[in-house]
Amino acid sequence: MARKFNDASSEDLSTTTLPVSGLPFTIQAWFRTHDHAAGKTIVSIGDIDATNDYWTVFVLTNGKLRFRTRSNGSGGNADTANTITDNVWHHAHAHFYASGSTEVILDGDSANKGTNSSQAYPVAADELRIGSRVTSGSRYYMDGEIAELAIWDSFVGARLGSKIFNPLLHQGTAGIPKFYAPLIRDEDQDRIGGILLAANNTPSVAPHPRVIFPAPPLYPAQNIVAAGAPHPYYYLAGAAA
Amino acid sequence: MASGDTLLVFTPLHNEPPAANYAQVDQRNAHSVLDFDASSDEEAVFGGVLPRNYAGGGLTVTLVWMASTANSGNVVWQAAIERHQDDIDDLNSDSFAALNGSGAVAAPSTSGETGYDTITFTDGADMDSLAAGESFRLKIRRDADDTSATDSMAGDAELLRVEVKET
Repeated sequence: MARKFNDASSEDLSTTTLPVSGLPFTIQAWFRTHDHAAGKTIVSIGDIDATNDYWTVFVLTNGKLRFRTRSNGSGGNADTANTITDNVWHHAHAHFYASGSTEVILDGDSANKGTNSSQAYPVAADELRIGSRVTSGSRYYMDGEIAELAIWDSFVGARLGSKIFNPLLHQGTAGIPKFYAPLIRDEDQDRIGGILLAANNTPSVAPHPRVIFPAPPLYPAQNIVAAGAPHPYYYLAGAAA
Repeated sequence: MASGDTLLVFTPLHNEPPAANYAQVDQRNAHSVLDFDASSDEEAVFGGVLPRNYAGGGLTVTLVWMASTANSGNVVWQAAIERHQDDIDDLNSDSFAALNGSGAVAAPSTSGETGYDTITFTDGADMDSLAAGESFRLKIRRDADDTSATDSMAGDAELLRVEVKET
């Protein structure tokens, strides 16, 4: 089950413990909007008390995915050329390079990615929110579902065939994600750093997107006959007999 | 390997979901499960290698599952095997053998309690002629639209474990 947000009720998840505080970073998430009119936010980090000191990934009214940054009022946008469809799961991927440039990719389609050559990181970020923008202004709450949110403090490549895989299977240049919240049912927690997310205004749940998870190893049982034993005994390979 | 011996165990994390109509991952009291819808067929797919000590006795697939909310009604489970034979089977398309079914099996008496229900395969074509040491996929489906039997249980069926043993 994924987390479901109702914009009319201002539902989101939040924490004041930030998994990243600078550049570079990469975010990935699955999302499904019910109605993307007026813009719907997937994730944002910024200063909750400022109007323009944040970064955010959200869906525009025209259906494109936007990675927007504002640093003390200045910044820019990177918009995809491809668009989303309401009530369909989509995959968001965004980089903020150490150089200050940004990229945003929808559904692994790098050919239609959005870029911006000069952005800046928020100067006084103090919150992360899932499903709304971190700002004292308009919050652009999500109307839909979000799942499998991950944030790396490094660059992670976006490949068309890789988006089905759980973020833990995507290695950034600095390794696994710094933050990973699968958002299965009401488990509002980062499984890497243990950051607990506060659920604001009771978001609900909805069916999860299609994802392949890291699987435990398969242990076929083996029939071992001990010398002199009256019956065979069995153990799982790798365990003590 | 003797009759009744466990060959493989799959958990929800082993699922490689199909492109459409897939069972969704969920949690119940921190147990990872796969939710199968009550109104339309959904599937989970598990990949493995049939252990080399399989002795040709056929396979029994045991499904361990819970009712999400119900404590009455019946669920119909189905399973099918797809063999990956050396230099023969082209995996660019699916080639599952015919589905075998559990028939209509009763929901556990309390939501949250586990039920154990089986689906059997005889050795040979019934299990796509899968042989020991060969790669394969196992598809699990909830026949929610009553194709093979009447599935009457309301709410999701939550799959917890899949055991494959020698019959």
